Amino acid sequence: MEGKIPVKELMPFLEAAFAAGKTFTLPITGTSMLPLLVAGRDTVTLSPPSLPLKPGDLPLYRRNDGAFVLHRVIYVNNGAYTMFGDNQFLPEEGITDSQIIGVVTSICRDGKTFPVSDAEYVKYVSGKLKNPEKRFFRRRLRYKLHPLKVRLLGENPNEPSKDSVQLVHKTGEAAVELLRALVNDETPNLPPDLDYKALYAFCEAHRITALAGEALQRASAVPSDAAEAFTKQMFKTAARHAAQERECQDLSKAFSAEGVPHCFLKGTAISAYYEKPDLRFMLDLDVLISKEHFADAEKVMLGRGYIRGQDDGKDIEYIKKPFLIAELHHELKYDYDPGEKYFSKAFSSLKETGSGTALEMTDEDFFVYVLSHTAHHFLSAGTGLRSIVDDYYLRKKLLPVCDAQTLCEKLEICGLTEFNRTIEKLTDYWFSGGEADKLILNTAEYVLSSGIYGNRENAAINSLMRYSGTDADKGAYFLKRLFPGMEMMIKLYPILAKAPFLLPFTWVTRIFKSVFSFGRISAEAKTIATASEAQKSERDSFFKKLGL
Amino acid sequence: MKIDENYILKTIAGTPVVMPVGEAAEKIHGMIKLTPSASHIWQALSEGKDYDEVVSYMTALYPDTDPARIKADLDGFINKLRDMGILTD
Repeated sequence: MEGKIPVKELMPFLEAAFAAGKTFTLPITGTSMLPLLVAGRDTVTLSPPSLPLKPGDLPLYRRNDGAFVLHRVIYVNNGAYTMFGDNQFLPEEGITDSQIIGVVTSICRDGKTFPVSDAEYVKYVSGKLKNPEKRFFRRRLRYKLHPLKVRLLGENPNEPSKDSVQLVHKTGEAAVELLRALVNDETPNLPPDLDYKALYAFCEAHRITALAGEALQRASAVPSDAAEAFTKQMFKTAARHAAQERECQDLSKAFSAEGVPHCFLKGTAISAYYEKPDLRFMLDLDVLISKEHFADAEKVMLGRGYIRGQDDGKDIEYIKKPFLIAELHHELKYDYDPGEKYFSKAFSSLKETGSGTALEMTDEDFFVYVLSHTAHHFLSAGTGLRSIVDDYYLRKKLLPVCDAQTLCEKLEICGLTEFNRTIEKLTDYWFSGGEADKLILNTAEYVLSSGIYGNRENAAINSLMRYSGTDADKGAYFLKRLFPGMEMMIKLYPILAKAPFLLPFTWVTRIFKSVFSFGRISAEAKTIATASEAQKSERDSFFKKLGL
Repeated sequence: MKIDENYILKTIAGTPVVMPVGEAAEKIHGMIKLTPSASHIWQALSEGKDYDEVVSYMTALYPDTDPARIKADLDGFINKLRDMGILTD
């Protein structure tokens, strides 16, 4: 960063200040201490440390690799400190007194200076010391549910203005044009008054920025800042993909060495069908493991430096810094998944790949599985453009090698025949110049107005739709949301599987916790309260036409 | 000469870059941008060509460039890769 002086170069001045019994003012760089400290705006005053440090202290320390870091002490264990940046979700363990250089005694934040004994600051710090290890899951959930309309239109997604809706449509159409140009290897034809900032936000919400960026390379008159933003995302996505791809290979070898049969699912397998797999964003790696080998698989994960994360009843999440996330599934079960029953015995129909204990689905099963997962997202909260690009590449490269009769039979078994036809027509309309009837236009609209994992409005309407009727059923819906059934509660509180009598206590805990998500709940309540019978019936009719 | 398999060459947005993966990603954060000629050298080394073969390969690719300059650039690049622990003998 221009004008930024590395801490390393400031060290002689800091040491001289401390030797003279003075404090040292350090400018903030980076984002790891947001929202407290903002780079370029804030500074901290460092004093020689009074050791040992205590939880809440904010020291400057030197890592073993020589990097200087200003992060907060969260735990002290046998003389070793565990550090977290206030804006980070993974801990750094094993920092010792010998690495501590100084400790923050006052902060100059947005022009206002206060000591670390300031009552408001002390309150802020005590909040940061509570359950820091849960930050990752809170952040990921927020990330997944963040609706596209909030990103594009501000904080009131339920009542977008006419102009705002037109902006979504215009940027959506431009994004589709970029994808059309990408898959056909053509130059995109973009409108001259295109809002590139909105286009970038749209592509991010649909996780297609790197793919769109590839097509944008061929476009003319792209503003340089927009071109730079898209290109940066291409590099980031490719680096992430390269690391994930290697991790898949290494994990497969490690599972094979331990005799653990395994099958990579979803994005890991889908990206292989892309012309440029590097540019398909993957959040995590999904692996199917049989229940009897799960304990061995977990040993492999922990042995490779992963830490165990959330267990939602059907899969367990494992996390490895800086961004590797792997989900080990022991069953392919999702809410509102048309193929749930068929894929409940998926493991027994996998075939050997010839590489160690790695298994794979048959071509027909894999196509139906991906389509079924798209249908699951349609029925839950919606899904974005990336799912349709996935479908396009599978139709182009996987379908020709599938046995047509077997495929039709499997689609029929899963109740996906009509949905398959509609998605085929949609990809044809968007990417190959096909015709669109009203159903295709409605489907296109539903996809464009959803982000990659849908949005809150869809989630609420789709849930409410399952409660036919009017106001009495809105009440029933809220009761169900307040007091979910045992199956849902076990996902949130796995202890219930062993101690079901704790259900009332977990309901109360969940309601108490939800007070801190007031904004989200308020938005959902507003959507439910204003959802008309016409909206519900329109959605119901839409899903029926899709055969879902 | 052997390139560590934890470094892979990709071309993103028309730019050749070397990305560290696996254990290397824990040592190097980020990626290494290469010039087009460096990416040709990388490819030749990845294919298992020895020093003389890489010189011949680069001379054929850049016939208008002074062979002494090609050799000097190659030596510089190879030394850099060795210093970074990416290339081993």
